[in-house]
Amino acid sequence: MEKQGIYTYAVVDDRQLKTDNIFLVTYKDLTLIGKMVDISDFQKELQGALKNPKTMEAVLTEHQDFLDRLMRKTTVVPFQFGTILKDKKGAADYLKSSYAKYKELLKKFKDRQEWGIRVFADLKIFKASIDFNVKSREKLGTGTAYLLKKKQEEEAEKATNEKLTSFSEEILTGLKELAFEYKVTKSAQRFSEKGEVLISVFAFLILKSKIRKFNQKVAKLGKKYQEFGLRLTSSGPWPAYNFVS
Amino acid sequence: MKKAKVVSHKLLVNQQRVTLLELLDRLLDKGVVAKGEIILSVADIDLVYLNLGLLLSSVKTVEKARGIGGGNSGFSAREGGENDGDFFKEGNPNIKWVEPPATDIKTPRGWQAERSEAMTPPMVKEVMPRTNIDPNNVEKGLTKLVLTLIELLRKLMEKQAIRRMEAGFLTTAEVERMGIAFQRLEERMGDLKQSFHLKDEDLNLDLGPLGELM
Repeated sequence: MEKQGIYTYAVVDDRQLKTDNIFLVTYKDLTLIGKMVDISDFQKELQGALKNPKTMEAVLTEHQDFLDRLMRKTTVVPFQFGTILKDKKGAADYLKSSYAKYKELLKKFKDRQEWGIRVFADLKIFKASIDFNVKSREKLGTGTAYLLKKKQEEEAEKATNEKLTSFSEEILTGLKELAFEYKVTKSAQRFSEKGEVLISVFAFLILKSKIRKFNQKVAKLGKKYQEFGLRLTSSGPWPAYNFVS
Repeated sequence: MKKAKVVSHKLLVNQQRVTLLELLDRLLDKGVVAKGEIILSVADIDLVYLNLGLLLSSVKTVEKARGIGGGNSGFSAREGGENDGDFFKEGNPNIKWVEPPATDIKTPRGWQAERSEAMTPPMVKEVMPRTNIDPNNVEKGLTKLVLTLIELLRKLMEKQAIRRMEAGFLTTAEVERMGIAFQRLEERMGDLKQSFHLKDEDLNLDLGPLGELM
């Protein structure tokens, strides 16, 4: 027997919304947007995503593309990917019990977008920009020189981390003044495709009217820290994934 | 204001600046999490969340498969080499995979193959290893684990030696002898790594939320 569930995308407060091939559940002025899926098919799809990064990308991007289109029409509160509700009654009860929470979030997200900033570092360039005050090891014995070299490497590592932290804080300070809210987040990513190390991940909730200014600031900061081997990447607009709690 | 909105949408939708890892970070780890009886039946919840957990834990596989992490990281699938190859072979002890579905995967709304193709390195066609018990891999996994622990101890002892040297507790001759001993130990570890085709970054353990061992 086929088992169906409601694959969820988001909650909006627009009951006039017109979108094809979607399943709507409403409560007062809230609408939960989803689609009916066969659970078995969904399982297979996820297994396919596990099997192949390309399929994973396809499944996730399709989900995100739908939300992107929705975002252009209205304010959205996104669900975590893979949230499947049991039935229509359960979804309606959920909307009813979470009504106040959603109204609060929708108010906060109205006319605002999430943007993500990642700070990457080319450690070779970055370390070259630091004066490590390396002492000569020429007149020392082999063993002593080895330990001193290790000590200097340890100090260099510490100095590098401190400077990276300091620069990250400066970047955050420069950007957060343009945002309504910000979050310092984590990522599963460790390296860029160029091999740079991921140093910091920030998420900002920004008024749409300030986004141009925000991206100008990102470009300015990117230029400022470029000589130290830092690179800033900006992505958005995202649904406010990082600000739902 | 209107113009700013249009420009910002272009960044995400048209210029494809969003990486798979950025998508994973948000879609799988963020957003509203509904709980309770409204979500499927108990058995199905387990299945769905199990799969999502696996999806998230396979992020590092994605990094490898996409050749992310060049430089000294050694994570690039492009580099080839014995160790990289092993990662994608059956029996990698670091990954546990579910059985692949018997049928072709169909996304509900028909996926845009062009974009996906464009964003995936051409050499990565299939990265799905399945767990099996291969004596050769078990042996190599064990060697890697043992060498990781030895490397951890070696580094801890070396740091301790540096602290003692800094504190001035040792004579010049003692420092010299200790330094030579550690230098030889490092050289010997280098030989062992080479013998087992292991790189520095292979000698580490992912401790999950605690980060990496070294």
